[in-house]
Parts: sequence; structure tokens; C-alpha cells
Amino acid sequence: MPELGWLFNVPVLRFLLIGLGYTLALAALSITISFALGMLLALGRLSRFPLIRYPATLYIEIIRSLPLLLIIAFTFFGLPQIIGVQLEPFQAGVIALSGFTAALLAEIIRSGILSVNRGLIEAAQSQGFTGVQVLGLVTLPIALRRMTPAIVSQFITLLKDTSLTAIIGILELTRRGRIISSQPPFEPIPVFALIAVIYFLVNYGLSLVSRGLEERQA
Amino acid sequence: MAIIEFVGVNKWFDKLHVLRDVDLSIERGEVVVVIGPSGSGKSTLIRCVNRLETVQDGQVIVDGQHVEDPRTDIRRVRQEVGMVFQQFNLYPHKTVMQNITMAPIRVKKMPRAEAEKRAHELLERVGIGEKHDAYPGQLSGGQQQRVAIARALAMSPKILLFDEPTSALDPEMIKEVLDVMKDLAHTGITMVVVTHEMGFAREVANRVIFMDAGRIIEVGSPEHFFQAPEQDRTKLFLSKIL
Ligand SMILES: Nc1ncnc2c1ncn2[C@@H]1O[C@H](COP(=O)(O)OP(=O)(O)O)[C@@H](O)[C@H]1O
Ligand SMILES: [Mg+2]
Repeated sequence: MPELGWLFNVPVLRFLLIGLGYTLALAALSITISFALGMLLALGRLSRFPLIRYPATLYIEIIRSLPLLLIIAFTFFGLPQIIGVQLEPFQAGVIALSGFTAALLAEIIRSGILSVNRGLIEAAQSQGFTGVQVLGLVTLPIALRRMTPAIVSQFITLLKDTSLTAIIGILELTRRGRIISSQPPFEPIPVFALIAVIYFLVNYGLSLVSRGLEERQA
Repeated sequence: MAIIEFVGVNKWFDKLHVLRDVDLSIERGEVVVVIGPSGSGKSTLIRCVNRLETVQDGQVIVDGQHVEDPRTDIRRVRQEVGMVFQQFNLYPHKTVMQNITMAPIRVKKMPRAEAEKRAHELLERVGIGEKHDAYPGQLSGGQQQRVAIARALAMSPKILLFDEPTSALDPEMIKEVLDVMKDLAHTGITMVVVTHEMGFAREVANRVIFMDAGRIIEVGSPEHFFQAPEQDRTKLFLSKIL
């Protein structure tokens, strides 16, 4: 049994936990924003108005085909020059992660909406609901329930991908692990094992939530 | 005045001419059964009444409102026209109670307590008073279809449309649904029923309409169809289903 006191001590663990805090904050904000944006993009892509449909489709198709690392770097280094507003790394990280994940969620949500039985929508229409009510009371609830596993799996990917924000200087969990492991006693394996366990616990928690949601709906 | 009126209606699905010069007048309180071979346009006909399908030519007038006119607020028409589908189409994520009260509460702005009280009465009426907390997936087909009828009735419609309401049911459940429909037929509500249940037609229909290839071929009383159908196509069709 190797001596691990250099890793399991308060300052080091605190340093790592703050990293976990960044990771969770980036993920939580990006999950919320990307879900709202993804919903709008999905509806936009399904819109019968070309002025809404084409921009939504273009956004989804372009963003989906770019590497996230490129989007993160561009958001931090390039976007401020275009919009003329300097962005903090954390802000840029949230924007990039949200914008990227929204495009992927949009496609998941869209296919969920398309999978809803036409007859159910007609039943709701025949009862005199408005189009917005049909969407909010019937189509979306059914689509989202059906898509919960795929959506949660996208959120798990997002949580792991927060580690890519290290390139714009955010000291999230993985980046802090690299910092610890590059200091004496230079032992990367215990550090990365610990970090892996932390990611696993958080993401496994998310899967459990997802399973709970599914069972409640079954 | 007729409560449903088709005047010179034509409808196409792309090039497919599915309703041809349909003229039809249904009186308030009438029970009309629509029969005809598969693909003859029966579903399309009744779906034009609440504009689930639009017509390209002619007029569809429902309780004085021109359904074919895009300026007509179709939601007002739909509140007066209940529809029961072959596949039930209950909202699977809502309980029986919610299925029935959703439209009265959201569309008619009825207070929840009142909507639920009415829902209980309706469930008693269709013979499943105890199932209000079940989800549709937990019910048999016959029970689901009776909930669907209660859901349609919850809006107090003047007209009920049925599109083959028993065709997806196991034989032992057909009767329980037909019994509910027969009860309704005696309440004075206008009913248009696409079905091949000729026993139902014989007992409660005022008129039977036979359609083929998008046309109304023959109209008459149930007795007329049982005893002396005139058209060869009608005879051929009846010989297959009776
Ligand atoms: N949405 C649709 N698009 C194209 N063709 C359709 C559609 N719905 C029905 N049809 C066609 O229209 C014809 C009449 O259909 P329908 O009214 O469903 O007949 P029925 O109810 O008498 O079986 C059929 O040939 C059917 O294939
Ligand atoms: Mg049909």
C-alpha cells in the first residue's frame, strides 16, 4: 500500500473540490440553457415558416459538425472581437457548452416530437385546444418522456466535456488533477483514479435520476 | 335547419380524388351510420366536419358555421363536435380523470371542481366509475374507448363523430361500447358513426349512407338497406359484411 497522504489531505482535496464546483456549475448552467435553447431550435426546425426553419436548421447542422474544442476556443478568443464584448472564461465556457449541446438536444427533441402518434395530436385538436396547448399539453410531454434517456445521456456527455474548457483557462476538475499530478511526488495514477471516481459518482447519480424519472412515468 | 351540411364537396389528396360531389344534410338529433368499403372516403368525410381535413371545393356548414372558410375560428366549431377514434387516442400520460377534464378546464375555462364532478358522472354513465385514477395503458380496449366517449361528452358537444369505434376491439368488448353508443343515440345528440356494425344501425340509426370511391352511392333507412338496396355496388358490399 503506497503512502497517499500527499493526496488525501485537506488543501489538496479542497483544491480538487473547488474544481468539481466549477465543473458542476458549468454543467448545471449549460444544461439549463441548452435545454431551453434546444427546445426552441427543435420547434424552429419543425416550423412551417421558412424564415424560422432555415436559420434553425442551419445553426443545428453547422454546430453539430464542429468539434466542441474549436467552439470553446472560438467563443473565448474569436467571439469577443465580433460582438465587441470581452468574455470571462467561465462565461465563454457556458456559452460554448450550451450552444453546442443545444444543437444536439434539438435533434433529440425533434425526433421525439416526430415520434408522437399523429392520432393523439388530432384528438387534442378535435377538442378545441390551441396549437400552443396541443404542443404543451400533449406533444411535448409525450416526446420528452420518451426522450428522457437520450437527453440525460447528452447531459452526462456535457458534464464530461466541461473538462475541455481547460484550454481557455478554467480550472475545472480535470485541469486541477493535472496540476496536482505535475507536482511532487509526480504520481498521476492515484490523482486520475480519484478524479475518475468523482466523475463516475456524479454521472452515475445522473443516470439514477434518469431511471427514476422513467419509472415514475411508466 | 340541418346541423351538418355538405354542399358540392370535393377533396383531393394530391391527385387522389377522395370525396366526389358530396351533398349531404344531417338534421339535429339524427343518428347517421356511414358504411362502405375500405378506402371509400368514410373517415375523410367525417374528418371534414371538424376540419381535421380541409376540402378544396364546396361547402361544409356545421351548426351554421362555414368550416371550409379559413376565416372561421375552427376552435369554436370543434368545441361543439366531439370525436371518437378507432384507436381511442387517449392521452397516455394523463389519468382517466385528466383525460376527461383537460379540455373543459383549458378550453372552456370550467372550474376544476365542476369539471371533475361532471367527469365522475360521465364515467358512471359509460360504466367505469371506479377507474378515474388509472392511466389509459392500464385499461382494456373497451374501457379505453368508453373513456374516449366520456372525454368527448365532457365538452357537451352538439355533434358526436365516431370513426370505426369498435374496429380495434376484441369481440367481447364490442358490445359494451355499442351499448354506450346506443344509450347516447336516445339522448337527442346528433351522431355520425362510421361502422360496419349493422346491428347498431338497425337499432338506432335514422339513416344509413353507403359510400364507394368517394361518392355517396345510396342513402336510406336501415330497413331499406336490409330489405331492398337498389344499387348493385351496395348489394355487393352488404353481401360481404352481413
Ligand atoms: N392523409 C392522407 N394522404 C393521402 N391519402 C390519404 C390520406 N388519408 C386517406 N387517404 C386516402 O384517401 C382515400 C380515402 O381514405 P379514408 O377516408 O380513410 O377511407 P375509409 O375511411 O373509407 O377507409 C384512401 O384511398 C386513402 O388511402
Ligand atoms: Mg376509415
